[in-house]
Amino acid sequence: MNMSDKKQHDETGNPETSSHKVPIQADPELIGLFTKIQRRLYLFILQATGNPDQAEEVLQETNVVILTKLDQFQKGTNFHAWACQIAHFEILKFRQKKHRSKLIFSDDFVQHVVSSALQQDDSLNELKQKALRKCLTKLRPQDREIIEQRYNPDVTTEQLAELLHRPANSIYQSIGRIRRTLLDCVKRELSLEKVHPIPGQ
Amino acid sequence: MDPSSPSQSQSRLRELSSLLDRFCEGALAPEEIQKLETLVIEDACCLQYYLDYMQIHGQLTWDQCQTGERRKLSAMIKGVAHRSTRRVMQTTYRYATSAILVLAVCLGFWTWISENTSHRDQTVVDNQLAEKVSPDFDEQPQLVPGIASHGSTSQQSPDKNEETASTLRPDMLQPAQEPQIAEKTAVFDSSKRHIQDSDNSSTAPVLVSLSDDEIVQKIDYELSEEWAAAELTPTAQADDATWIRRVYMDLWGRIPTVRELNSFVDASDDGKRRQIIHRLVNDMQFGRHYAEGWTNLLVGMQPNRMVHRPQLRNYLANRFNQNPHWDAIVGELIAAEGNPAEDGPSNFLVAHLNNQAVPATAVTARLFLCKQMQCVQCHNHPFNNMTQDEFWQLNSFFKQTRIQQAQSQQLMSPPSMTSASLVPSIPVQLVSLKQGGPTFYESRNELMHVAFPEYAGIKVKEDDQVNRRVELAQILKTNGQRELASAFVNRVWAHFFSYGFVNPIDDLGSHNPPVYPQIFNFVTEQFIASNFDVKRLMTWICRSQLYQLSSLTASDNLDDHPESGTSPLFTRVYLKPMTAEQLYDSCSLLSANYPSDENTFAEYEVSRDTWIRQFSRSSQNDENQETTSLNGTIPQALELINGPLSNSTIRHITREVSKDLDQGRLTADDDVKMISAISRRILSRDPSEKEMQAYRRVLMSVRQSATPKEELLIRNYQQALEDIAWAYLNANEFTLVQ
Repeated sequence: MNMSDKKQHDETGNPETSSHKVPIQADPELIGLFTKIQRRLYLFILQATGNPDQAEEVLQETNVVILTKLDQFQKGTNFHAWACQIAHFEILKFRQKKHRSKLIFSDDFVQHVVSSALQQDDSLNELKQKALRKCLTKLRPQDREIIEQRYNPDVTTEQLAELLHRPANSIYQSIGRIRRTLLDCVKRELSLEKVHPIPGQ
Repeated sequence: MDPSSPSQSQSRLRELSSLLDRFCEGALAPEEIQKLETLVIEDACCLQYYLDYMQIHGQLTWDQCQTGERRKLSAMIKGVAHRSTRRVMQTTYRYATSAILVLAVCLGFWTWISENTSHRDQTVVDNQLAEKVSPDFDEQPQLVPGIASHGSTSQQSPDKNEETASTLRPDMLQPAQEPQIAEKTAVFDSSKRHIQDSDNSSTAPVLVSLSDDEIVQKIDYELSEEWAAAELTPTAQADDATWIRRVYMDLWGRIPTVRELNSFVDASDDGKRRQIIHRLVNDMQFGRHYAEGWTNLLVGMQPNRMVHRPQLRNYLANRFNQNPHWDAIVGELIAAEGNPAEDGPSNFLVAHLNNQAVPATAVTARLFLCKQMQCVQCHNHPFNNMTQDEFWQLNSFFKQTRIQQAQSQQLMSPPSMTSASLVPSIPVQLVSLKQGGPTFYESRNELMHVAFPEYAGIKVKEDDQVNRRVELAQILKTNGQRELASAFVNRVWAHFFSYGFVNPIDDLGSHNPPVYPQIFNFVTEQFIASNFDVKRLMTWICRSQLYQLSSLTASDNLDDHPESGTSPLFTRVYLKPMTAEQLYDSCSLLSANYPSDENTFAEYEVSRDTWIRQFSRSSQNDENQETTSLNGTIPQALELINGPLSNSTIRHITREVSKDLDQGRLTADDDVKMISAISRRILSRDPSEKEMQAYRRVLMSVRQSATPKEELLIRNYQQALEDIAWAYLNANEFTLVQ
């Protein structure tokens, strides 16, 4: 961690003191960037926390910090990288704040994952998203139903199992299998996409 | 071991993916999470896989959270959001909304908000919206019972499922269901460690023997899951004529007779496939067929002056027919002693004890354990974790074994089988000495090493009272049983489907992962639980949904093309070329030389050996390997075009079909009858439209030719029939098993 990072971290550590800096009139372009970045931020945070609920919580806090610091962002630089740095500090802060037992991963692991996630090629992100949507349509109807229900926030896995009249463990297996199918499919789609880029993308 | 070797990395990835499956369901124990962390930190491939996997998980969470809320919210957001952001909004309403709410409230109630995140409020709103509007949600009550009524994740959509059901026989194909045995079978799958298992962490597998029906159902179910995962639709079912030819070829090693064909095709019984499998497996021809294949594997085709082939074959045939327990058979082969002309099993080692029993070691490993050990006799294996000492430790088991000159001449073979070179010309005796001593071998740095008999972690004592081969047989039945079983299952699977779960079939190991590990494990474990019952194993395979399928590709499984080097996905039954034995037996059947009862079999098989031997060639290597040229090459073509076997076959077929002809007047009806009869005999099917047209033209021109003499006419007619039979016999279709 270098010095400037450290400084930033300290500032974000006390949002109350910096609340007066909240821009009354946010720059529409920045708001656009901010909105656009949500999904990618969430994915990044999830990779480091491993739990969707925790990831949401960290994302909320990250968003607050981003909005308060929006005027500090230098236009023309990489907004995504900037936001990810903030998210990184929020992840660390979250980990300090949380009771040890509630954390899923070890410090080493998070450090390792974050550093390589930050280096990931981000240009494919939209393609990946598109590919996933396409792959979802390619699933068998039953599988799509299962995966939709699985990720429906209102349905627990137990309810899902009950709904489908199947034992919970077989649902888990299926979900794992479908997820892996999707992963393979996305990879395949991306490699196709690289060879034959769709015009206008 | 080098941690970055490809095989290691693959098995790590597999472990990681199974951990991640359950991790995302919150079903990992702390120590398993630690394992996950270690994998990701230590292996770059695992790290990438983790990132990709979590990205999918995250995207699904993110997107699916909104499916129910999308329409209403998008309308809401439109009003609030800035115009330039509208397009992006489509995918990010939820957080965008909360962000905008945050923005709004930031102005006034900053501190309050940061504690009660607006997100929570939003969720309440979202849920209400979801209940009211979402069409996605409205559909669910209909969809869910639809799935439930199928009771499983069977691989087709409901309507597709019906379609399949109508084309498939109900006896063979109850829709692939997760059978009620799910609970019983759960213990088998070491790869499926569920949440429930984590409660009682005792992982020692308890082998529960299931009934044939349950096993077949389970195989079907697992396979349908695999098909779905690979997004493949299996080919349609094979028609009865194709299927009956296939099952006769696979279980008896010959094509069906016309009577056998007709009685099966004409039967309308739902359970006819099941019945015919039962009948074929329990007939003596079953044992004879498998005995032949295994005799070739065990002692090879090349003449060996000490080996008594027929005796070994008879022994195997009796074992397969009456007492088909593979572990016991292997034990008897390994521990055999005595005179090859009397004790069938002793032939195996008599054939391979040359060259310090190196072939015996390599062949034992290759045939029974499907391990390619021959290279490790000189050096540790470069790709898998086999080491040189393992080879010589196994070799050490044969150290006590000797071939001795037999004492008296009376041990010579019975006179009925004196066909030269097929029976031993040197009478010998396979014996075990009291003392053996260890094996000494040299490693690559020219150091001398010593190896004591040891296999699967069990060391055998150096003692006069210990017969090492008896010990080895025992180890294979106990500690080595899994290897023994998986090797055999893989081999048998490949016998029916051309490809094993692992290919090449005799190269099992962690470096060569199986295609469908779950099915492979399940079948292996059931095979062990059935006491290595060969007949039951084959019954399961023949009754499986897969075995009922056609060999043709359809538009949905074009990718399943192992012939081009990809790994087999088993969505169809791949074409197999006939083996030399199948070809000989089928031709013999067509020319009425096929033996009708067990007593005449032995003699028949000796003449078959003589015929086949002309195509076999020794590779002349240390492992006593051989190759055959009867595999679609020129010698095979020549034999079929104009060999004595095909000539006699063609003549006999013609004689048979034409014997009831009214020589005085040949009609067009006769033409059709003749062509059909020949086609049915040779290809077990009716002639196609095109064939019929072409051959009718040939026969018609003979009939209408201005020949004054009646007998000349009938001779010409028979000549034409022979031509037709020749054409059918030489069609590629004849030498293929579809």
